[in-house]
Amino acid sequence: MDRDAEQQAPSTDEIAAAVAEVRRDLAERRARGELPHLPSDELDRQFSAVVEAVEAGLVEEPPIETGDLHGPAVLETWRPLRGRGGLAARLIGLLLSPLTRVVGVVVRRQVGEFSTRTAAVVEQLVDRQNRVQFFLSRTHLDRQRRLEYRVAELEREVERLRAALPEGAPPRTGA
Amino acid sequence: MWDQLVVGAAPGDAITKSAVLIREALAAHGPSEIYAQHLEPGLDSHVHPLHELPRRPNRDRPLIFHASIGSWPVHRAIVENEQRLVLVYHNFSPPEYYADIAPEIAGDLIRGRWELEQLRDRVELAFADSEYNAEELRVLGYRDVEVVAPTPDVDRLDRVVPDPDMLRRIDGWGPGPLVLCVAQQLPHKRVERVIAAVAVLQQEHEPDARLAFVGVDRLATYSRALRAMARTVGLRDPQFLGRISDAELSALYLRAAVFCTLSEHEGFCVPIVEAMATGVPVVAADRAAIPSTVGEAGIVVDDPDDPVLVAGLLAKVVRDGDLRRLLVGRGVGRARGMSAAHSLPRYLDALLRHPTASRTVAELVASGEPLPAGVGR
Repeated sequence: MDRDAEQQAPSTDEIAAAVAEVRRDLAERRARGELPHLPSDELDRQFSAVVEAVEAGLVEEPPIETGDLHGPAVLETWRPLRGRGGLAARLIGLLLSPLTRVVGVVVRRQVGEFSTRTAAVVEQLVDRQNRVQFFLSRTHLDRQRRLEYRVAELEREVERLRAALPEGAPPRTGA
Repeated sequence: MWDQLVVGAAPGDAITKSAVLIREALAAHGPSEIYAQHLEPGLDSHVHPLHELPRRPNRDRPLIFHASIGSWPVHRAIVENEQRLVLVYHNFSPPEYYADIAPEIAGDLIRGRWELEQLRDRVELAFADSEYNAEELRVLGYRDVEVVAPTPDVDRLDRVVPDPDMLRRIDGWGPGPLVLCVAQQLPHKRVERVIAAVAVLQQEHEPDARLAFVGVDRLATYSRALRAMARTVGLRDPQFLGRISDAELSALYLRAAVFCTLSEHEGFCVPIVEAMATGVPVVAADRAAIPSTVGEAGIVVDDPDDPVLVAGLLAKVVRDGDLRRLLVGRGVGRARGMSAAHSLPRYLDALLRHPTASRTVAELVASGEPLPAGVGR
């Protein structure tokens, strides 16, 4: 991961020189502690945690869409006259149409406020649900990443201890 | 009859485009059709379904088989129909990237190599997109592999007017440099590397930088994970554009400050050639056949897993005018040499001059020469 700039063979090619310059700057900033030294598999660790979260259904994708919940006026409380169906049907339709219009006006007046309030509550619930889901997914991913970091630290510590064992010493199994 | 067979055909797919170009070129030498097992809408006039593939003895010339993934129906059709074969090997992706996320695809990729081994003696002429691909064929026992670059029709981007709506849309993303990545959303493309690198680019170098990603969603889990990854690393306003038209793609190349692909495995990588042809500097991973495609005309990163390094290189390309001019100049020249205008004649020349693959069965019998293994079984 941290290729030392000094190890780069000098090149007259401008592209190679530009790459070497970026590497040198990166190495210096890392040496000054301005940038982290990333473990070689850091990206894999992070992305595998994301994939696990996605497969577990913990990542909200996509957020719930409320769409247009307003509009009780579109409730079909009356039907317009239709031009088909024969004379009898048209006569009945002519009689029913004013009646359904009146019913529609009354029903819309009765349910309008209720419908508006219901839509507002549903929107609030969906918004809250989306925020909770987002929080849970981020928390899960952060937690998982911390655990991954800790595992990586412990693996490095184990390697360090193993390397520090004197030659020929029996391995410690903890038993 | 110079027919071609692909496992999957889709609009915008590089192998499909290559097959269409080859068919048009071969039309002057006889009837030529394309057949596919998986056929996406929009190609009905170009590609026929697999079950319509003619059988011998109607077939007098070898079938040109484009291999990119294993497929039992395709393999069975080739074996049962006793097809003579010309193989065009576009590479199989590494199955390990699919073992967890799509095991059925991993199985197809593993079986694909076995299928190529079974077909080896039937193949009269084998093409590979790159030396990297040719080496894989040699490992499978193939000899005398012809290395010919695929036939990317990059000139088509010059023939379309950049889409005005897409140009307006890009302008709406802000004035910052646009990083463009073109790749199917598949695990071995390692799009997450690009996402992480551009996030660092925004945080360390160019706050207004934007990432536009062009590529079909092939695996839902991977695509959703990429979007979640973008949020996790704090990437601002990534643009996942899916499949787009050539006019829209042309608009993106027109506005792109740099093209970035950090794929782990490519048999050739046509989008790199498209970027170079349209004057966009390329930053790519030093993996598989990518270095041979980029050559000296772009920056290849030997450690694409380091987003800080990649971000530094992207910033350098964006800010350093001299470096940009150098990359653009070299890229345009290199792409010209790789375009269909150059590679297609090489395909045809190798095919039409081959001692057996160029001839019909009747011509081979009449010549009295030993018949190839795939003939007369």
